Amino acid sequence: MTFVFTRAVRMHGACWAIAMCVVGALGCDRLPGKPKPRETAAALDTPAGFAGFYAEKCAGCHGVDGTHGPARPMRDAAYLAAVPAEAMLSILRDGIAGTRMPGFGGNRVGATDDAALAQFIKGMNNAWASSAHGAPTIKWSQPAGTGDSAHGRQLFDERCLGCHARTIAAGATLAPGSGGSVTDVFYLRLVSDQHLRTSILFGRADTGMPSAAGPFRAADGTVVAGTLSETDIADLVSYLAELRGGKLLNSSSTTQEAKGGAR
Amino acid sequence: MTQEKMKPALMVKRAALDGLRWLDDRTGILWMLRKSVFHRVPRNAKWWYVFGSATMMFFTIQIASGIVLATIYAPSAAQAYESLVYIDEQVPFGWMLRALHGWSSNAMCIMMLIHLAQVFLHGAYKFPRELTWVSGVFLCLTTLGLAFTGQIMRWDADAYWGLGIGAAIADRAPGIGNQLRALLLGGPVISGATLTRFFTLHVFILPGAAIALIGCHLYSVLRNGISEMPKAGEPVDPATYREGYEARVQKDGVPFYPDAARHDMVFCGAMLLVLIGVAAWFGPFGPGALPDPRIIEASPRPDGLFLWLFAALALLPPASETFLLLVGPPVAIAILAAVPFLSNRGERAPSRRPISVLLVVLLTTGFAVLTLLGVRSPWSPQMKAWTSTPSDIAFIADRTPLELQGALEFQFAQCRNCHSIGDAGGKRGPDLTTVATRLSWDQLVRQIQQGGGNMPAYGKALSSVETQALVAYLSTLDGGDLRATLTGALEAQPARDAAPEPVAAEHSPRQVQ
Repeated sequence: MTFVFTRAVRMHGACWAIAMCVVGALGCDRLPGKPKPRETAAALDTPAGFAGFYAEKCAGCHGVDGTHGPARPMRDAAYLAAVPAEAMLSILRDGIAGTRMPGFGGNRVGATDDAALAQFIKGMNNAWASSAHGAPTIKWSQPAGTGDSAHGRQLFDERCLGCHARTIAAGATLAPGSGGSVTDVFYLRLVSDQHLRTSILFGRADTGMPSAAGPFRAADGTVVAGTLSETDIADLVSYLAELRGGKLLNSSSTTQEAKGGAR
Repeated sequence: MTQEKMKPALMVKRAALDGLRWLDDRTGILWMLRKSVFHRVPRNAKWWYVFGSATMMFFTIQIASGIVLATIYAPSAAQAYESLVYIDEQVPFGWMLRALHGWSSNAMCIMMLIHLAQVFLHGAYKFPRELTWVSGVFLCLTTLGLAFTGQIMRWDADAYWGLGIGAAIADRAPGIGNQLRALLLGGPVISGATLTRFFTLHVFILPGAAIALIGCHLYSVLRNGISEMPKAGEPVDPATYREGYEARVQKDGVPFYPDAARHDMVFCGAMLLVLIGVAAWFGPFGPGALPDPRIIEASPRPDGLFLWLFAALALLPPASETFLLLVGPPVAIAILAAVPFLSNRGERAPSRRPISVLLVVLLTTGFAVLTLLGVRSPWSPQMKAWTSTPSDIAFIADRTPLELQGALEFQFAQCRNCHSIGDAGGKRGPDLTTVATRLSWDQLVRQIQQGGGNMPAYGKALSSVETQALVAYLSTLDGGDLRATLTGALEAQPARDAAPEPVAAEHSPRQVQ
């Protein structure tokens, strides 16, 4: 069998050769080992820039996607809408004294400058805030010590006790839906009034804690509807703050006996 | 007409032959070729003998790619990094050149080590090839030196801190420490002079030494012949070995080219393809981040081949460090070079030399384990873990507020830099995923406050309330099968309730907020 180079064969051959060269040239440029061009870091208000900074500096405490961390979830549209940008910037830059929120700006080593932090806040709002939340009806922050603690105690009994029992027998397990004690003085001594206010006002959607809009659960398990007013929240904070300064709640005779038993 | 056409061709042929004859007369090149390329080698020198050739092929690639790289690379502290980025991004296929140079360096070292192990296992270092072995040992050191100085050329954080460790080792030499460090670094500290010094080592001194040593090595191979495959029951006896070898090779041998070299060529060709594939797929090494003394999170590490050394240095007991660092390497090298003088005769077959086989197995295992440890470097805390390593939801869900505060404390006090929970976090300290099954409440409190083992005491860094919250959290880490939270923030914990400070007196600063 002989093979004749007809004109058609030559044309085909040429076309294929050109195609192979093009593919080859493009392919060589796309070899997996070719280093990516060195980019400057993405701006912090872009999704990638925000996500990178959050993963490096925030995820350890605030949770991998902004929820389910030990600290307050930041993926909370109502919270993000309520905290003014200046306040957020000050928190990110200087931290919150006396709490476990460290500062990431200022003069510290490896600090992020204010402009970048502002960009980050913008990036966070783009990612997690929502336009559905307009101006908040209740201020996110207010000076401490303005509430009526007696009324706070009454509110607590009506609306909080269903999940946050004051004392629970030693060895008992946390009932489903229960949040554990918030009247525990050790807890109270670790958190600020602002933390209490924020928790009551915005709740924690990731752990099932309702916001001030309710609904709440009474001690007997019945559902209590109704929104907490600004005064209600101040009263509740005032009640809890008063517990913090008081004596140990748990040194009652029953827990003492339980203690002896557990020992 | 045919004759007329042939004439110029014949003339050219004759002139070429005359030229060659002249060249041979003046240089003796044919004699040299006969003695080297066409010399007779044992018939059974087949696949076991390819590793030395492959090492040399990779060295040739190193020389060729290195020369091209040296024309672009700027050996100055200010420009080295930029020039590498330039080669990677601007020079057409510059990245490929760097990848080939880097991977070929690794391949050369690996082939060399395999060659070393093969020669050792086959007893090929015995009479009369002692000097072949000794020159090989020095070639081995030179090659490792080239690999080490090569990674310094990247002048990134790994290079910088690696040099720092080298300088610290040199500093330990009694009496001459300072001078030795100055010799190494070109001054008291790592500077531009250091890079110039290592550049000179990498492109002039060590390659020159390697070429000279390869010359010695090959000459000695040609003079004493390639060893035959070892056979059990045919021991080496210096009195009769040479005569026997010559007779066997003359009677039964084959010319090195093309008979024996065929295996080398096939193997080298295959290795070359593998090298190109690996370089195209994985790309060049680094350069990594620039050195910055302000970044305390830097975890510098050497290239793969030196990870075993990195691990060994990290794991040496502190008391023995100076002695082992200064005495160990020279003694080890001396022993390696002395091998043919320690056992010069006798059996060559691995089956009759169990101790040698065992040594190779033990050393290989040792290097493999140390390399693995070097990769994982569990002794290094992960300095960023406290802000960047989140807890799995399973370790956060269903915790009380106090326990969550404890989890926060766990991050803030940077416990996670050394301790993992659910495999996330540092490996320096014990994994705490199931710590509640091992330690009681009181033991946890004591461990945190007083430290112990390798752990620092946190008694002064954490208030008693913070410690209690932390322990409340840790006591929920029981493996996850039980819903272990003692609710109400663990009312029944005597250690906590018996805390000595009265509530009012212990005024935590956080209340100020």
